[in-house]
Amino acid sequence: MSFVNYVNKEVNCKIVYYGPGLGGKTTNIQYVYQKTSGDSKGNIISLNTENERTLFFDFLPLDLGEIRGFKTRFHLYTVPGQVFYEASRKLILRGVDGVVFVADSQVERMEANLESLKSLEKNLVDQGYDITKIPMVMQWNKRDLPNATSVKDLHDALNKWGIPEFEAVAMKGTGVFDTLKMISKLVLMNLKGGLE
Amino acid sequence: MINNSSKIPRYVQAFFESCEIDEKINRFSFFMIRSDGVVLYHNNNLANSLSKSSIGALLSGVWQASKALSEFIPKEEAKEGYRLSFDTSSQGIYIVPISTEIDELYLGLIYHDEVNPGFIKNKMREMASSFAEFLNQELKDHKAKQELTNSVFDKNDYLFADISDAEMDRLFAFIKN
Repeated sequence: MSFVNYVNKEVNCKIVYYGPGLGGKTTNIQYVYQKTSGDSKGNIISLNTENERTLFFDFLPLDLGEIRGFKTRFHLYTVPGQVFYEASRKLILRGVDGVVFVADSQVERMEANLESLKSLEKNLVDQGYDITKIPMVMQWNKRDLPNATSVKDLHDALNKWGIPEFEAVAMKGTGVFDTLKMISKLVLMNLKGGLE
Repeated sequence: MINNSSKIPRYVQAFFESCEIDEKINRFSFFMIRSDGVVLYHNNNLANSLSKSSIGALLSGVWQASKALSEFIPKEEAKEGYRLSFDTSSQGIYIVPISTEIDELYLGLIYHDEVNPGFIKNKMREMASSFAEFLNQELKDHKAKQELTNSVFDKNDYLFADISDAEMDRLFAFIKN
């Protein structure tokens, strides 16, 4: 649920990185954090297990600057990818304005991608969202691995809606900002509220 | 149809300008947040580098996780609304919900070195209740004014109908090489 503050002339939007476990969601926002200059970012918050797996969420607030007189503030969240954290994923999706689905390109992770996408569809529906209407972007991560499946296969299996998709190697930063820029644009263009 | 949520910051500002906050509460850090963690008002005296956005996200997260857990408690036992405490006898975190007609809001307090936590928790509950009353009255007045003037803004329009790539590039100018 985006929030347009007419008093301070600012918009707050929530973007959630969703996808299977170990697919690179946290790596995406860690890269954004590393490459963002000090004034534009807040602290990155990670609620992790002892072995650095996301337990509840990662959170990164980003101040993007102004667009047409409105300050834009994005809150980036990741969900925990492991299957048994379904309840947490549901909570984090509340009030979401845009979703980045981070798929793991490795052939053997296709089942996990499909399962995660199915859970995303269900969780969005449960909260009254329509997956065909919410701003969403696909990211095919880990493109540098030798066992990566083809982009066409990923597209055919996971992107039946034909939404924007990006190839990425989040560890090196490839595709990370292209993905974020696109989802941000889609979210901003989807903001309702008009001007007083 | 007016989106009343967008008017909340104005009412929040008006409320905190008009009310006198108890000096005991004012010594500590308190935050008014929305259910998605967006901070509407804050008095942040915490001596660390956490931004208000991060604190808002954590307060909202802890509340939502607790609320999800509370759904396992048989409903008939919940005779009053929940509050959330994470505390020792002198310091802790306290969150109270604010029931308004349009949005779920919370007041969160982070306190320490307090000899009477019960007192400040009570003050927080009073503040939540005063704000709910204030907001609901303002919304009622606003609605009445609208009916009188019949001047309903159309808030279903897109805020930014189209955004060029150049505008997006400017927004992302913060990226370091």
